[in-house]
Amino acid sequence: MNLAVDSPLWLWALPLALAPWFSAGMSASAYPWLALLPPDLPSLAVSVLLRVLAVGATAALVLGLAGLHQSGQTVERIGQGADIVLLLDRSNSMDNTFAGQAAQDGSEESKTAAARRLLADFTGQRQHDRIGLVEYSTSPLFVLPLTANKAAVQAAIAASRYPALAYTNVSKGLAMALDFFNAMETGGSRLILLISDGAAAIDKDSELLLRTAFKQRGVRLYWVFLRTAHSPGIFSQPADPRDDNAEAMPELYLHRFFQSLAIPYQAYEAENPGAMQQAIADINRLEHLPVHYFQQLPKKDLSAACYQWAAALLAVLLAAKLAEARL
Amino acid sequence: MSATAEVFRYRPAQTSPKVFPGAHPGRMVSSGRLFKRHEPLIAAPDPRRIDLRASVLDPFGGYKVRVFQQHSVLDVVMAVDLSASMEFSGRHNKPALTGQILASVYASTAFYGDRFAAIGCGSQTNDPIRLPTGRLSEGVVEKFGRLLKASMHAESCSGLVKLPDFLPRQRSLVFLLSDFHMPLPFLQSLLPTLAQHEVVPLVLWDAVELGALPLWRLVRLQDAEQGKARTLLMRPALLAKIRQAYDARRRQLQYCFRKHGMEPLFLDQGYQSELLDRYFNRLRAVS
Repeated sequence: MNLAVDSPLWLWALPLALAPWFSAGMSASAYPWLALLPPDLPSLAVSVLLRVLAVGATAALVLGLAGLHQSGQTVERIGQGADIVLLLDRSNSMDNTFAGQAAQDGSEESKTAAARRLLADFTGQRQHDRIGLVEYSTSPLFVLPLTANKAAVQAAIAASRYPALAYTNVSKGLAMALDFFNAMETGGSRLILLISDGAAAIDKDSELLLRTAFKQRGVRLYWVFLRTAHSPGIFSQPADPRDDNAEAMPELYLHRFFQSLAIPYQAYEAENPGAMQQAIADINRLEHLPVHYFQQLPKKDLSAACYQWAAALLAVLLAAKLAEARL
Repeated sequence: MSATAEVFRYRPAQTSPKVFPGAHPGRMVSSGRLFKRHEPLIAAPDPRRIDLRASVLDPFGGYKVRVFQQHSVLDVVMAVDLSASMEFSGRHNKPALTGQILASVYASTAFYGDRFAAIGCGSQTNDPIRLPTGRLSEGVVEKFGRLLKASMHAESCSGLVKLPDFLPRQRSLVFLLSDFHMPLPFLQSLLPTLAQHEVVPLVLWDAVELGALPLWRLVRLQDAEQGKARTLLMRPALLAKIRQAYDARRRQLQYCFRKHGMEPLFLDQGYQSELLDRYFNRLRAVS
């Protein structure tokens, strides 16, 4: 309970709340000799209660005016979930349909749109995850750090509606996604969900760096490959041995590189939105480890409650006033 | 005033010590209806009342004169407590009742031809306000009554201790009008100082004061003298308790007064002169 007020100057009026304690608020009738009246416990209780109510009502009004609220705070929680970085390909080809054509308006959805829709569903289902978003094209784009704020995640995913950019530079995207995970923190499962429709060769230096980073940070990798019709897939072997190199078949080589990382790795080849859904359902099912995280509670305004209390107390006092009799 | 003032008939319990002829059995021997004794002519030089038979029988040969008990005047004093509690106005207005009783006592003394005095005692620091003894005119008494009504604001009735100093030296009939809302020890110390006189305590109470308050309502009462206040939630149970408290107080007062040879008259339903008539008839029927 961290209570705070908006305008502390009002608090100077708080001693006013004690005023009803010293004045009964009722007009007294003269009586010859009070000493003769027998002591009466219910009457005493009522008179004390009325004073307490009046003090409470005044205090509630002053606190309401001061704008009492509960300040935002962080609560430590343990839930089931994972730290997930969504790594989204934003190359030009992502704006095409699965059939490899530019998306026409409304007829068939583009790969980006399908990815966006499914990711929005996915993040909507996972309540206790922390999710970050990195997009990459020629360069990686830092979109959203790891956060438990679902609205922010949804907004970040929705922001990929804007037209895609240039080429595919998967190594830089992976490097940035890995940077999201602090090497020091432990607990929960960490995974990168790579969604792309193509791959690029990774040079030797980057390969080394990525290898170390994946090892150090214990990150799992899920690759959802959105395969365009008639293009080479992850698992397709080269027909011609001369094509067996990273430049000709980058998808296959990237797959091999990932396999060689010796980390939990799963690749999905999706040729339509349905297949991609299957991949996401798998992740949903598998990644449920206890995770330790902090939840931000927003500021809570209590002035309305103050006014409600004041109104209720004043109603009681008004009833008492109406029940007052004079000699 | 005289139109509304009701006369009642009072009788002193003892003979009046006053010299002057009046309406009440006196201690003086002189002309009268009730034969008292024979006296020598030298002691009662009234040859008209020489009793020949008694004179002949006198072995010393002196003249015997018959003397009779004289009816004498009586001093009647109306003493009023001027403490603020007497200002209370419930079903009846106590100051108004005070004026009414003052007028009634005055009218009765005028009826008997007695001498009348009035004293109002407030707090101890102030001297009592007084109307000196005498056969006063109605206007003077009326004016004094207004003065009394306007003076009922003393914070206590401690001024009553001065009352004996201002009473006539000889035995008088004293009507002591108060609500007697005072600690019993004070009353017990006050009453012996009045023993020389014949005191009729008039206890002025009011129905509202005795608990005739609206039921199931909140009432805030402030003590007229102390200034302290209390809030009461009037309930039948509390009403019964108040009635009980006043009944107990009534018995205490009766006990206290009777111990000093006085019989109180409780006026809690207003004032009618018949109450005093009945009071004197009941107490003095024999005398």
